[in-house]
Amino acid sequence: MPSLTEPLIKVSDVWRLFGPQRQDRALAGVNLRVTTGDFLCLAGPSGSGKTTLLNLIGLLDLPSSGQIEILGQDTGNLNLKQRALLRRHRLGFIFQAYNLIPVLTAFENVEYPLILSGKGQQERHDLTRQALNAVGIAEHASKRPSELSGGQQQRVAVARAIAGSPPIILADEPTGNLDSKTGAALIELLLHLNQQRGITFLFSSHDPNVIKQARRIVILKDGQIDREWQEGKDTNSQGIFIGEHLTGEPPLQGKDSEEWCKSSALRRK
Amino acid sequence: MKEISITLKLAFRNLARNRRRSLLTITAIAFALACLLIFDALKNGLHQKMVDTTTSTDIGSLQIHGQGYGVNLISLTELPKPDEVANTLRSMGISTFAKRLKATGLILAGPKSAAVVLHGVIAKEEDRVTVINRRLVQGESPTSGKEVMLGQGLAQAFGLTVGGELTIMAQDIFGTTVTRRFTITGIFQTGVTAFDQGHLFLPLASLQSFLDAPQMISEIALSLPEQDHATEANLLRQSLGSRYQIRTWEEIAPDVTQLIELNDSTMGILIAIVFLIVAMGIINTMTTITFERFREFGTIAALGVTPTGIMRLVTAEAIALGLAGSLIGSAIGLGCCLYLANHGIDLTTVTSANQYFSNNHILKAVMDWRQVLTTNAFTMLTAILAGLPPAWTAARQNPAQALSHL
Repeated sequence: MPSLTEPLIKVSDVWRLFGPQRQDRALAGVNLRVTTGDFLCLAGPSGSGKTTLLNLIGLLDLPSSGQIEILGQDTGNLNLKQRALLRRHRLGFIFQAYNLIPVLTAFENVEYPLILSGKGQQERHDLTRQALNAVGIAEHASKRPSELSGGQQQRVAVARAIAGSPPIILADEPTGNLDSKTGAALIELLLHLNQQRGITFLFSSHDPNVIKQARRIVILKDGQIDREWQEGKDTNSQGIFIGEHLTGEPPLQGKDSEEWCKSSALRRK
Repeated sequence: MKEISITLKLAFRNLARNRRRSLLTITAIAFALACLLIFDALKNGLHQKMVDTTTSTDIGSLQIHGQGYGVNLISLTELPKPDEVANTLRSMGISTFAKRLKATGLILAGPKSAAVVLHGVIAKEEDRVTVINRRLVQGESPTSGKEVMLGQGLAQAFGLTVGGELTIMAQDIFGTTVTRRFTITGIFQTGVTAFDQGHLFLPLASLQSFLDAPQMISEIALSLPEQDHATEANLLRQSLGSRYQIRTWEEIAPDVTQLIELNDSTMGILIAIVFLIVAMGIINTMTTITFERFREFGTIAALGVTPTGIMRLVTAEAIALGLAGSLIGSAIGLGCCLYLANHGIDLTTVTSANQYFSNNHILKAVMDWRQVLTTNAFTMLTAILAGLPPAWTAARQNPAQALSHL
């Protein structure tokens, strides 16, 4: 395990180009360091490169150039199998559309990555139950995804991501398909897990309600990191930072972040 | 092991997810396999009928001659020491053999004449090897000196009936032309037109006397239970030595062997076509399944399933389809074969003039377990091979692209 000062994730001058002539720049020279215990939100409008960056950090895609280190390991030279094994043992994923395996029950979905990591049956079952309990969905363990609500499915997805206690969990728009109340509850759950278990969360969102929960916010714009805010480091309040850099309109004088977020959420509706 | 277990669980549940499509694919595989098993068994039945007809009319399973014997040679070639040969056969546990004297001759009846093969036989021995005495349509087998039995085709051509007489002209052992009048005691019909028009039977002693060749035997024909007699032929060659010529029915009647080979080749082509269709069916199903589940493959790739693991999952589904098709197809095919082995198909309307159906017109299925296993193995192999291209596509898919697939 890396030390607290050593970054869990180190992204150095990463570019991701698309198109036949590589004319479309999804990411253009991104540098980012994520340290242990971060609860980091990648914010920014659609098309800013949030998902692309998460995919690259999650080893789901290859950068056009640049270097990505996960837990001190340079991922550039890894083959497909090595990348899969690194994901299996070191990364957890939460997706916007939950992405549960529809033919498996909630319990089996959570157990699946534990099977892949080679854990014994008893240990698997214990960890699966613990994870389901932690997200408050244990009573639905025998249900298939189609029998669960969106919020319940996302909780199962969170349980799946945390069951094996990976050091890093990547979540792409985890609340994107949830209503605001369920979304807020989910982010609270993630924050709780971050604080209780020390799991590093790196998630993307463009929802101010979600972003305001982050302890660190990285704003992407046109494939580049535009601004960054970190709790305890920056003098600006989070609300002002969000207001200035995510809505495109300056926040009203004296308005605190919570009020701003409420009104912002109302405007969005 | 645990990963294989979850892979199988996923494979079966994924197939159950779209029951109708899976069932249709399984039905197509099962139907193709059942048809192949039935075709194969009927083809075996046909081949057995062809061989039975060929061997039981005259040839037998194996024939032993003296060296220098030729089917079309006019001169008589003696089989040396036939009693010693008979003892050797008995010592090998073979009792179904018949000693014969065969010669060519000419029959004369009024203004007509025809070249024929004269068979001097011992009726009791001959009954163990051929069905000639059971093919009598008129009269009875010859028993005494100047009695003869001939084919219906020959009798009709000469206008002869039981009780009538004919003259046979032949060369005796010294090359002298001999003639003698014989009374017709029986008329046979084997269904093999050429045989019925050119063969004539009389008691062995009678022909030996006629050809002035007392005790002479030119041929011993054996009837053996198995169709492949190469082993017995080799054993006999070793036991009897170089003074004897031993030939299997395949060597004596290569046209039948060639016909069987031709049938097998044709069947092989048919099987290849059917397997190709089965393969296309599986590829189609698996490609659809793969395309529909790109996001799922992206998800399991994100969870850490390796490309090999994804290939294994898709291939497992293809194998499951093949296995289910094989089991159901085998059950249906073998059930039909079992019925056809007992009852057969009556081909009266289409085989009335076929020499191989002269005994009866019932074609029965004959199952060959090696073929059953091979056909099943090919079905499974086809399923695996057909599953590989979509499995490869799924495994090589960029997980990020797969996850964004709609």
